[in-house]
Parts: sequence; structure tokens; C-alpha cells
Amino acid sequence: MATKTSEIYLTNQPEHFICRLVFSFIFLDLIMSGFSNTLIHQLQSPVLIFPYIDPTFWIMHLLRIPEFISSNHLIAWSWDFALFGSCLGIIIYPGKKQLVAVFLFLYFIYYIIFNSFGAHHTHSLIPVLMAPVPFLFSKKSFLFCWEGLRYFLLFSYSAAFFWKLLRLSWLFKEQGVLIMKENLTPYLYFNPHSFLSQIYFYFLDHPGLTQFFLLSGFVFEGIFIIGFFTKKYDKYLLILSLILPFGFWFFADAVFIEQIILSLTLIPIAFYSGMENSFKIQTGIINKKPLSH
Amino acid sequence: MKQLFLYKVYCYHKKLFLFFVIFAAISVACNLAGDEVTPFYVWGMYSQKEKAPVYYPIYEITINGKLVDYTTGFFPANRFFLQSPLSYYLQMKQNGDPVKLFLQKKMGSTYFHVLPNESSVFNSSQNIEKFPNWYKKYLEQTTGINIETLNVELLRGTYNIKNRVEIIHSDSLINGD
Repeated sequence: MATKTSEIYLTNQPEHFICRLVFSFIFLDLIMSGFSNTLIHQLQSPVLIFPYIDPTFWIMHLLRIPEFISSNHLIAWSWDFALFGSCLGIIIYPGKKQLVAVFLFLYFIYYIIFNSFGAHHTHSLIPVLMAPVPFLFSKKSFLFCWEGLRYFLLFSYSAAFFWKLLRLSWLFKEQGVLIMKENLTPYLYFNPHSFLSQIYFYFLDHPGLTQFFLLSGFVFEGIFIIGFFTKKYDKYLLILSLILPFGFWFFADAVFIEQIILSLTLIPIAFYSGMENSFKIQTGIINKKPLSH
Repeated sequence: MKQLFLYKVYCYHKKLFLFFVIFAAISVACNLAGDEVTPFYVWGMYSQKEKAPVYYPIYEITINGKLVDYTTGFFPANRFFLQSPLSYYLQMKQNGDPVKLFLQKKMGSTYFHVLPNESSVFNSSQNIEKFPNWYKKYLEQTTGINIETLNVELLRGTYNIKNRVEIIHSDSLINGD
């Protein structure tokens, strides 16, 4: 697609640029998994499963797929290798939809293994499962799917708002302090004199302040409802979507850094086109051309 | 109306429209179900009303006589894998597989439908017995230390009047001496 700007004549393929951006983030996340000792080959053939009441996990365990992959060292290594390889392949060749499909399949199994053997169904890996989906589609469908992903992000925060609203937990004065205690007690026990502990203790000693931050987070989540009706405030929602994971980390030791991948959907497509163009110019991939009138 | 996202999708591609509608419908249905039948669609994010527990569990891990502070110096996912399966193991040692107990209670007389698949979706006593050995291997992977002795104590912590953690009781969870 040829696009005219004031000075340059460019061929725009923002979906490839976005694809590279998303998968670069995922690649870094995979490297972090390696440092976290949570890649499949690092799990040392775990033994306890937690399918809970999730039919997806039940089917996987009935087929014995997680057990088979994680208990076989060679397969576990190969799986991790393929996961990294497919992710890297997509960064190099962003237009290859088959590679995206392969990555999604590999990561889905990883997601099941991580959550089941980790004995808790975390939400943190879901953005990595969702974000690649639009890249399976062709150009115009991609734009719709990318926008659909934006609605998924809005839904996730809005749903969190409504769950809190309906469960009335936002009215419970000790909610903030109890969330902190539930998640941070081991840290406070082992490190009572650290700088971070002093901050935590300050918040525990001032429950009103803790509750204020909890309620602020609750309101922030509610603000995402606006996004269903207009894109005018997306830049503010983008800022909120970066603040909220920090809040989850600080108050609950829950790291939702992967959620930031979905925040990319709050940035207008035109911005990515501009970034891609300036990147191409700077790297000499394309040259500036005067417009012919 | 014409500005609606779903309307635009409908005009562009009927199958894509159907994909979005089904996805949205399942999302709403799963939320209305009220329980996490799949974490894919239900985003609670600490919405449950918290209850003050009798005690806060703290796991004290000692490798070759040295204490391991797993709360610092490890990546979040690593900390998760060091603590969460341990809590699950504790629950199983105390009362058996919590998922099995939950389903037995929920399903009542219809639980017999699950019986043929019990061995695939619940943890057997053999698997529970294997846990300490797995945990030792995973700790070796994580810390890079060759473990000769491993002890895991469950410390029961509470908060005193000054909001500081106090240990009121301790039990041995894994004793690998």
C-alpha cells in the first residue's frame, strides 16, 4: 500500500512492524522464563498436576500430553528449542502465518504445563496466547483482529472492575491490607529490615492509605469501560494499563508484565506506520523521495 | 450503528464476525457461571473478599544446613514455582487432592461420572510421595547447589500488634536428612 506523507513515499506494512514488536517482547519473556527456571526442560519432570475444573486442562491431562512432554527430557528440550526458534523465526519473517500457528500451538502446551504443574492457573501468560492471534489473519482482517484484541484488553480490566463491584470487596476496609499480607508475608519475614519492607510496613501501619491505592486501582479498572465507546482516551488508558501491572506487583507480588503486550493495541496503527517508516529511513532500507504532484 | 466495531466486521467478513460474537458470548457465559471454569475468560484480579486467615504459611527451606531466601534474588515465575507446588503438596498431605474433594462436594451423587478418569486428572498417593524428590531436583536446578540434605518447615506466621510477623508454630513438611 503506497502512502503519501509530506516528504516521503513509502510502502506501509504496519502489521509486520507490530508483529516484530509483539514477538520481540515475547522473545524477551521467553528468555526471562529461562532465567526463571520455568522452561519445560528445567522443570525436572514435575509430579503434581492441577487441572482444577477447567475442561481444557482436563482434556490435556486425559490425553496425558503435559506428562508426556515434561517427563521426557529430550522432548522437553526440543519443545523449548522449537518455542524459541519459532518466535525468532517470526521476528525475522513476520509475514509467515504458519510460523505463528506453530508458535501458538507450542506456547499453548507450555501454558498448560506451566499452570498445571505450577499448581495455580495464572493469568499472566494469557496475553502471550492472545496477542499472536491477529497475525494469523490477512491484511484487513488483521486490522479488525488487532482492534478485537484491544477490546479484549478493555474487557479484562472492565471484568475485574465488575467482579470487584459485584462482590462488594471494594467496600471491605481491610481488603488492601489483607491482600498484602496474603502475598508478602514470607518476604516480610525473611527481609524485615530491607528498604522495600519498610515501605510495606508503612502501608500495613496505614491501612487507610493502602485502601486508597486499592480503590484507585478499582476505579482505574472501571475507567477502561470508556474504551468500549470511544478511542479518544486511549492514550490515557495506555498509561493506566502500564500503572496497573505495577500496582499488582507492588501490593500483591503478582507480576502481570505480559499484560503490557495487550497495551500495544491502545496505540493507533498510524503511530506504528510512522515508527516503521522512520526506522526504515534511519537504517537506509528506503530513501526519501520527493512527492510528484 | 455504522460506527460499531461489530457492525463493521459484519459488513467486512461474516465468518470473522461470527468468531468475535462466539468469543464474546463465551466470555460473558463463563463470567456468569461465576467460577473459573477456564481462566481464559474470567478476570477476577483480587476481587474476592479477603478473609483474615488463622495463620500465614511461610516455607523455610534449608539446603545442606543453609537457609534459602526464595523471596529475593529469584525471578517472579521462579518464586511462583518454588512456593505454589509446595502449598499444593501441603494441602494434599493434610486432606488429599483438593480438586477431587471439591468435585465430590459439588457433584454429590453424580460424581461417579468422574471415577473412570480419576487417575488422569487427580494426584495419586504415589505422585504425592514423589513430590519431595521432585522438589529437591527442582531446587538443585534453581540454586545450582548439589543438595545432600533438604528440610522444608512450614512456619505459621501471624502479625503482632505492631504489624510485624511472628511465628506461632512450625511443622516439618519435607525432611530429607
